[in-house]
Amino acid sequence: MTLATLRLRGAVRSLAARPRWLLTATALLAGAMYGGYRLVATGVHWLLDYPLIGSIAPAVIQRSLEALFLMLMAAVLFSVLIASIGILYGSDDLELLLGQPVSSARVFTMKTAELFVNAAALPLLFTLPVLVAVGHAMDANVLFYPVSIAATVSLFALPVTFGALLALVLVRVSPAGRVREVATAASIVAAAAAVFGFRLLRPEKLATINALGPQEFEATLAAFTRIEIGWLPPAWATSSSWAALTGELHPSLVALLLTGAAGLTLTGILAHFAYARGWVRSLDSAPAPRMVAPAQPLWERALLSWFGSIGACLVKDGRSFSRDVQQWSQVLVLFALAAVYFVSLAAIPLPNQQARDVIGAVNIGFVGFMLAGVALRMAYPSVSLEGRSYWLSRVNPVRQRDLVAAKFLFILPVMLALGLGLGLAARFVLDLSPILAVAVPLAAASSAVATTGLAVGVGAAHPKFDSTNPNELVMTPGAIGFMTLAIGYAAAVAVLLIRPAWTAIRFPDVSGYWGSGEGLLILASLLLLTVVVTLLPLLHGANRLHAGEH
Amino acid sequence: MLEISNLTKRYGRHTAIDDLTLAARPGEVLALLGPNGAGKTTTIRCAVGLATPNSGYITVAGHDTRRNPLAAKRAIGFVPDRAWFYPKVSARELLRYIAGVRRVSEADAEISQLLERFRIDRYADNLTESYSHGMRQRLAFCAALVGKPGLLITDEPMVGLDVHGHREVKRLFRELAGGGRTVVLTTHTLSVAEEVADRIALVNNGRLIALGTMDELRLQTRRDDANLEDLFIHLTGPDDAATSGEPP
Repeated sequence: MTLATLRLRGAVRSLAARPRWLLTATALLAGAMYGGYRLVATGVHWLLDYPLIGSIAPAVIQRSLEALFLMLMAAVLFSVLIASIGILYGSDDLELLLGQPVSSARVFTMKTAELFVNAAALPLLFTLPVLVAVGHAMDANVLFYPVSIAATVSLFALPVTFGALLALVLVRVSPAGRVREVATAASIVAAAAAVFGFRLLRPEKLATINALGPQEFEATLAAFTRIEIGWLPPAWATSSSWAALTGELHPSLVALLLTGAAGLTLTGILAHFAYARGWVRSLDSAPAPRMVAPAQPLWERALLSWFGSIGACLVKDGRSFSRDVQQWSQVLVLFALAAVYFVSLAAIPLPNQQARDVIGAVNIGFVGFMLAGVALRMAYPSVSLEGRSYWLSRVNPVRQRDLVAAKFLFILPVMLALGLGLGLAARFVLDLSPILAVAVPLAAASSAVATTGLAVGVGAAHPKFDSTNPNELVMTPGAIGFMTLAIGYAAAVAVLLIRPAWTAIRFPDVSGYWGSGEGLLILASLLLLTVVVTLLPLLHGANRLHAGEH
Repeated sequence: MLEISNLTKRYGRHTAIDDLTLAARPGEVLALLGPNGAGKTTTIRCAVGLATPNSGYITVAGHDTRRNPLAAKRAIGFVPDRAWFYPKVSARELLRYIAGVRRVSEADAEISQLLERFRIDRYADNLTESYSHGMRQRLAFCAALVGKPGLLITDEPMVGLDVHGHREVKRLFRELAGGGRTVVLTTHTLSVAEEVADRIALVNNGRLIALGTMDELRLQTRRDDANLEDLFIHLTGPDDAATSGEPP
């Protein structure tokens, strides 16, 4: 039995053990994919049928596909860099695997495949409906489907290969005794750098809107079609898919496949020599420094006396967080993301108030989606991060409700700071009209609270205390279920705020809207929705945790 | 102190504990013995809140573990066979956490005493991720004793401990019982049970098959000179693997 078969069999069995949950998660995912398909198909049809731009519509679609590939490849690279050290060197099963008479390169290959699933599976799942929609709407040749899927898989394999290579090198060059910490920190700094790198491509050029008239709109789209990124692999994936629409095979497919194969071969060769040694090196820890017994700090005593076991959990989580490079370094990445977001918003040339308000309104949905992605990494695994030490919370007088509440309260300030930061950045940078100046930060803050509650709650309802590394958790059915629900919440908030956004775009000078009956009703609905989406999952998660045997 | 009444625990079709009734009195050390898979650990897991019984009930210091789990847990200290701790906190911080959730005020002095007693005071401020198995086991004892619970439940307490640790744990058991507290332990090291236990409960296939002091067990089995190992073999029957002629 191969290692991959063994792993696959384990995954299938763990899914089969929870058929009802699997069915729900599959249904939610299928629903989201179908929704994506319908949305893209409608958009493509609209572009193709639009009278003025019919002639350049295919080019616009091609460039949009290219932009999507570029963004998703950047997202995969980002995830890979964050997860690579954890998966390739931090997995608990490595001790067993590398202790067997199995080539270390094989183990590395399996772990790299795991890295691929971890970082690229979700982007792949969300790309598939886009490809099918484009193919269907454009009456594609049957060759389009296998070629575009192969091109996408090869494209996403490139950052995974790069991440694995970087991990191999980092572990070899990091100082002995602190290999894992330094390599993880370096890898995450590289992830932040990748985000800045993507920023240097100046994506706001794609969003330049000179005016809202049809002629100018066409001119903008025409300019968009002339943007060239031919030297980047996303362009290769687009060209090969595009040629396959008419049944042709483009040489860029070969280039993509060859680059991928070359990367994999190089990584395999390096892994053969360096992986097992690197892993052994990563196990060496520096001799523990003799520390002076510190008195219990005042803030710790205060938390304990005010919040009881919730306070005790907060203190313990705070200490673990501040000492675990894999956890605290994610905050650096968040700051990098927020900074990039801020700079990008400021760089978009928007000629008038209407254009600024349109971007502000779009920002409501975008921030919700972004916060969901952050919560998936930071909040969803929080209960599972108790790991094998979870027994301590079970045998001691800790209410599971308190444990879940502590996780929520611990993550909330970070999420709230990020959400409010993004919302307020949009409000001031875009100089939004009065209605949106309230709606945008409010929606961002609500999303921060709700997605944190949803993530912690769903994570508590579906804990995985025996995961070989925390990065595994983001690809579990529970995590997919959370993402689907979080996107649903973001969509619900966007729908709820469509009317005020539309009012703001049409009448930018209107003030006092939020004091009107309609405004108050929308605010109350948003508050109710947020409270329900926050509290119900938390309670459900705590009850499931209490009832479970872990 | 610990009362288990008509406890049944099933995992799917497998019945791990079958209508088990058992009590441990204040001031005694009760050894729960049995072959592998007899249901000892499951019984303990039900008692400490790591598993939920299908039927029956458990009370600790008069508190029903289902109806009043927090009060019951305050009265229990538990040492598992393999203890895992939060890797990025030190032993002292971990014990403070436990003192916090157990609502033990001004616990620092008690924590220092425990760390000293189990000889990990020198490493008390190092992260637990750097601890050996034996040190973790010592820390597990410290964690179980924070707040002076009336009932100490230990599952294979000697695993990973060195000779000093063995002696210290045996002394601890007798000391706790001498102070009116209760100790329940499972072990496969029969000499330990024979040495420290006041009474022995023998379970097999999820059922209680014998309970009493060594003398009472000898009387029940009419084996006057038998040691615990003889009684164990006699009461639980020969090992299936040994009699079937299968290679080990």
